Amino acid sequence: MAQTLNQLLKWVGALLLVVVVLLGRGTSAEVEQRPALRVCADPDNLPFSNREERGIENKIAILVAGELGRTVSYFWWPHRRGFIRNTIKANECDVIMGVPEGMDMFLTTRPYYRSAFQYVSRADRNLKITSFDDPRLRQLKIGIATIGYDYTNSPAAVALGARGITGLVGFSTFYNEQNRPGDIVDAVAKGTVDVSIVWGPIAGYYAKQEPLPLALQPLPDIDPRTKTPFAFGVVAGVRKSDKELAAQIQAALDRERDAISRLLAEYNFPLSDSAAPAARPTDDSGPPAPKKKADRIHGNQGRAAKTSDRKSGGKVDKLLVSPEEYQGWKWFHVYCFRCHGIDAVGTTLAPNLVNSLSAQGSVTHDVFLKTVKEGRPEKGMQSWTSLLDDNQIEQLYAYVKARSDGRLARGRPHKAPGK
Amino acid sequence: MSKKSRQIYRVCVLALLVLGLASVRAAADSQGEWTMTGRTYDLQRFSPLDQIKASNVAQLQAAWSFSTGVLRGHEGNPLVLGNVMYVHSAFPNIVYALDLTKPGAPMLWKHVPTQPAETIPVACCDVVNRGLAYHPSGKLFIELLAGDLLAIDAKSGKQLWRVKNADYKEGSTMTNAPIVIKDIVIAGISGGEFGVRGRVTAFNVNTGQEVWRAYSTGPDADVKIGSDFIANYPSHKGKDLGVSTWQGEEWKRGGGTTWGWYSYDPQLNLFYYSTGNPGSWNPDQRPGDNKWSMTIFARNPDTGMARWAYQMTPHDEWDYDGVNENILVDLPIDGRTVKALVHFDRNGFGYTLDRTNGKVLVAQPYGPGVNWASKVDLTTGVPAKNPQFGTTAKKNTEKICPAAIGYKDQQPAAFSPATGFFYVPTNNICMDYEGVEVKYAVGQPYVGAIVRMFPGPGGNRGRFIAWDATKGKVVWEIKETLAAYGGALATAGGVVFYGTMEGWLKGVDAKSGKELWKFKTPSGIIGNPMTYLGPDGKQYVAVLSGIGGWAGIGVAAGIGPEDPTAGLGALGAFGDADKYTNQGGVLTVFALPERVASK
Repeated sequence: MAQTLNQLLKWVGALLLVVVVLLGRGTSAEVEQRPALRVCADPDNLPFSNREERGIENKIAILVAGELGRTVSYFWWPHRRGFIRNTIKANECDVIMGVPEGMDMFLTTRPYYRSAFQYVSRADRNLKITSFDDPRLRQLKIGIATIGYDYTNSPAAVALGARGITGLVGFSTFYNEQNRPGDIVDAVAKGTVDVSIVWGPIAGYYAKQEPLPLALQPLPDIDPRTKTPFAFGVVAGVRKSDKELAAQIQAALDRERDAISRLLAEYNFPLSDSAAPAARPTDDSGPPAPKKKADRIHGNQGRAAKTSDRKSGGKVDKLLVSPEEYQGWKWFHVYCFRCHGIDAVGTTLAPNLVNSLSAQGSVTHDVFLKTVKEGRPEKGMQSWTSLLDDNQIEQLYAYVKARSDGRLARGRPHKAPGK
Repeated sequence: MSKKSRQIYRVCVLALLVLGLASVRAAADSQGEWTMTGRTYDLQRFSPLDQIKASNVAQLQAAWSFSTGVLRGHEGNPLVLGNVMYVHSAFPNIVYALDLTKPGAPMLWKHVPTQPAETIPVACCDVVNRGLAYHPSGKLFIELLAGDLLAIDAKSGKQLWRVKNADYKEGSTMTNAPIVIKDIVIAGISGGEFGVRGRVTAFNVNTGQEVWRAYSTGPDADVKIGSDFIANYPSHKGKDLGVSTWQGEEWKRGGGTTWGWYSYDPQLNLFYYSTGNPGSWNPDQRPGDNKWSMTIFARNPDTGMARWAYQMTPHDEWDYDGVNENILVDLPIDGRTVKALVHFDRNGFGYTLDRTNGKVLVAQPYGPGVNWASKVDLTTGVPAKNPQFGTTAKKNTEKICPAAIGYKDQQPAAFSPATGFFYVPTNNICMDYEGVEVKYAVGQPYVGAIVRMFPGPGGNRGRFIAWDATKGKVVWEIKETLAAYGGALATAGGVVFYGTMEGWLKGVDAKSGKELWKFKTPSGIIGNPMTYLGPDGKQYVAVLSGIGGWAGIGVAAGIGPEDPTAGLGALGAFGDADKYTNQGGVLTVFALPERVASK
């Protein structure tokens, strides 16, 4: 399941990552006191970003940089497989705007907007499709984005495929002179397809440009059958080590909230207000879907080893932990690992707790304590009160949370010397 | 002679000839069979067959193979009785009977015991099984992981009886090969990581009824120590040491499990086995010698009463289970022939004992850089521990040699009467060890330590050695990249066979250790090579491959190398095993080509 989720997130990431644009060299960063905010973006992916800086993420980046008293400089890279590796991981930039929530390779902000995939059809046909189980879908020609860059199917293809619905028309997401991001919407207006299933921002932005009125109908936040999520929060991502930058960007986004709202309206993005667990599957067997959570960045300072401890010679020590986290690691690896797996990554017997405690998971601090104490016999989870007291369960939580937040890598952690 | 009397004479001669040939044939059969796990009660793993020899082994080739249909680690070896081979698998412990008279050895029957899958995480170190035992009345016995001892009719494959000996819900499982002595079958238990109380139990082969049970801890009555018990050393003398060498009631969860190989001396009527680690790997929680964990026992198989015992690692701080096999050999020591017992312990020492009374005659390290103890004092029988490498929950103790998995673990050694050497497959692994203060609850892990293993001196993770047990000296050694985690086989042909975790089955010269032949089997080998004479009169060599066990748990359970403390520390040493091999239980059988064999 986690695998499926990762693929989905990667895929949606592929779609969304196409980001901010600007004339990289044009901004005179050298005259500024503060260095420019280095952003990686796709040079040709409206409505999100392009080289002319006309994408919404270009504009949000400027708002953020403005708050930080900095300008924006860009590193352009088309959104293809390897985008993250070649950009932020290669240290060509410090931030990527417009990342789907839940990509575990980043430290992210809270979502600054949420949207959902949309059924796009001509208004005059009055189709009003709201469900994958609508029998008309079996007769209609349906436009969907095709295979992702990593050769995973798009969420729509997964959900339709599960129902044996054929009659699909694919639209490439490898954008170039021939394949434009708006084609999938344009095809509806032209009648090439009856309905397209399109990521909300693309649907809204391009529908607005069509002379014919098009109807947008949101997909359910999660397909109850395949548990495929169709609603996602959109966040800014930085390297996991850049906690300070993440906090600064979060603060800037918070202050520019109204300006961002205006931009979202201007770009005609259909917003999903399902702030809460709208996209949660009803049971735990499905992949967890994104949901809003308030403690993304600030959640764990209390128990974490100090950030400064984790750096030595500029290199982040991702195995450095607080004494509490260390003791939690010990408990985990004499008890919990048998079912929840080494490093809490899960086994066939029990869930990956790195996911469960993340912003996409459902396990809050209180749920964690309750579950460890009381167990969930119907799931095969026992009560641990005979082996662990409250304080020890808190230590366990501190460890798993550190893993979940990405502060702690896999492997044997160690305490700071002298502690 | 009349014509008639001549005819009678001819008939008689013919009859004599036929009878004579049959008796010759019968002798050949028993020489060519492999009727118990170590071939003979002494666990020498030596075969008198000599068709395959140093001069022709290079031409050995695969004859046929057989998939067990099970992916997890495959320890142990098949049995051959008459014209039938009996093969066991890892959990769910399937037993197969294969017809050796037909090409490709088709299946005669297959027995799949039903066992709950919840047992899997209770097995500490993969869901292995070390094999079958046979009773001449035509019964096969296998210890099922979930805790039942199962008797099967060897002819039909049908269950005869099934009795409970362990309970996975309480943390006890079964993995070892039982032993049949007279009309009893003796089974052990695993579960030293779950605070169980180790014991061996004898059952009536016909009914499955318990005959006796002897515990590894507790009062003398439970341990079955009586008035004729021989205590050679001060630390072994006293009443109820199985209680008094523990703090409080810790002995009740004191471990001392019994999952190793069992041997038997019919002349002395003594049954030999040894016990595993004391409960909780955290030594802080159990001050004292923790008897009778880490102990070699000699018992009367009729009554279960202990004749003698010797504890190798008092107050274990390293998980040096003492369960490794006790090989019975008569050896010339100091000018006399000694009824010896030779044991290569996880703690790195190779012991030679007098098996009549349990006195230690020789105790020398068989692996490089043993540092937890400098030596074993032969007058007191006690190891001289090096405090620097003692362990505690207060800190992580680094660079202890050997590792918990031992310089040798379950992989049984072999002995050749022709050379007088023991052939020992070994690990070369060291470790860091940190205790964890754990509480006990029934059926819950009671490990109490976090271990990281890593390659020992030299960096090679395994060695295959020839050992002189009279002196305690390595005669020659072959370095292996990974551990030699499968057993050894010695033959009268002067060839010794052993397997590696990469999947190589190797044939080496018994005298020199020179590699003569090798074959890459489908998966890593943690099983034991064996040999038999086929119905066609040809000698075959067979081995189970199927990576797993403690050393191969990473590949067997799909654990990555990211955390070196995973797999109770094994991933630190063998995290790359999946680069060499893949899962899958397969028996591969070898023979010489026709033209070579007939020479």
